[in-house]
Amino acid sequence: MSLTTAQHDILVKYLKEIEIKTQEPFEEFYDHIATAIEKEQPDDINEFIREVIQPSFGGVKGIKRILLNQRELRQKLIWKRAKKIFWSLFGWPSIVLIMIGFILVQISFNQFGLKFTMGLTLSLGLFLPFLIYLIAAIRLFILFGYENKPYNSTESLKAIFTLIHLPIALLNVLNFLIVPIIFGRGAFTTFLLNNVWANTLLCAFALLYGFTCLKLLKENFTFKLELK
Amino acid sequence: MSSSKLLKGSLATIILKLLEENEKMYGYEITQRVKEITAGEFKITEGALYPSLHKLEAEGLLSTETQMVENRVRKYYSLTKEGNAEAHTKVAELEDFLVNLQKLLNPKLGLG
Repeated sequence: MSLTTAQHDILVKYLKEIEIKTQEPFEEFYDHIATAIEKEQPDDINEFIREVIQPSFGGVKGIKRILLNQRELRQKLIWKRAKKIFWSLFGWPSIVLIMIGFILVQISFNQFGLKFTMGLTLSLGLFLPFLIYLIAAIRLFILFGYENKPYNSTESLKAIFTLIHLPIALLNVLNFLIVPIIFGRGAFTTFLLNNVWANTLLCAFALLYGFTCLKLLKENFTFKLELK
Repeated sequence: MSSSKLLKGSLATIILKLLEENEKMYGYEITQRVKEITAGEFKITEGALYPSLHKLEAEGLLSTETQMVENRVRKYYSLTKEGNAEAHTKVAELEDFLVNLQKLLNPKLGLG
């Protein structure tokens, strides 16, 4: 026997109150508690949740600990997968693409200058994945809103966000905070423009990192499709 | 020491063993199955079960799939190939441990 609308509403309200806002944990907790309600058929759902279900999870603190624990495990898995993808780029046949990319960067240096090439590669490597991530996050937000879901994002997407925005955040901290304080304003850009090796390294890393992020995003979307 | 504390150390083995016997199970089903087998003597709390399930999944011993049941998403856990091998090892380890524990607690019975 499935939940009545009133029981469903109470359960959704409870899960919202304890701040479960992402798809995967919400669905797992919802199914667990809903199954327990269906089996036990309590007279007072609120009391059943507070007195029976919540203590078995270790209280609200216990639930939060489960969420945090799962988030950390997911984050570790994403980083592990990202590392695997990144290093696989140095294997055959991906290495050919890297060599071609490296040659193209060198040609661009000579044809359009360091500043343009650096801007282009950083945009492609760091900002393109970020843009795709943003589009995916907004798309999901709208989709969940349209379907009247009680959550607005997924844990997988949130875990990938850390990976995607980290180099952008690091570059900003270096460019606008650490280097200006130590060496003066604009020193970071000047250093990159005056040192071809540093520029090439940064451009190459940005492209490889960007490719890794794009592949991860693609895998996440595939996972989402399997879920549906 | 309460039985729940003793149980906690064997939780991963219990999960692996149950999943070895059942093709796939969901969280609530695991807690109920343990209760049923032990006639209510052992009670796995959800606060201990889910972190264990998630850890085993992250270690690649469990895989998950989702199904629509009663108009909601249900997450099923099942053993991977590695999980199946680990289940055999863990159960054998626990059985050895119990035999040795028996020898310590009741030497006459253990040596006999």
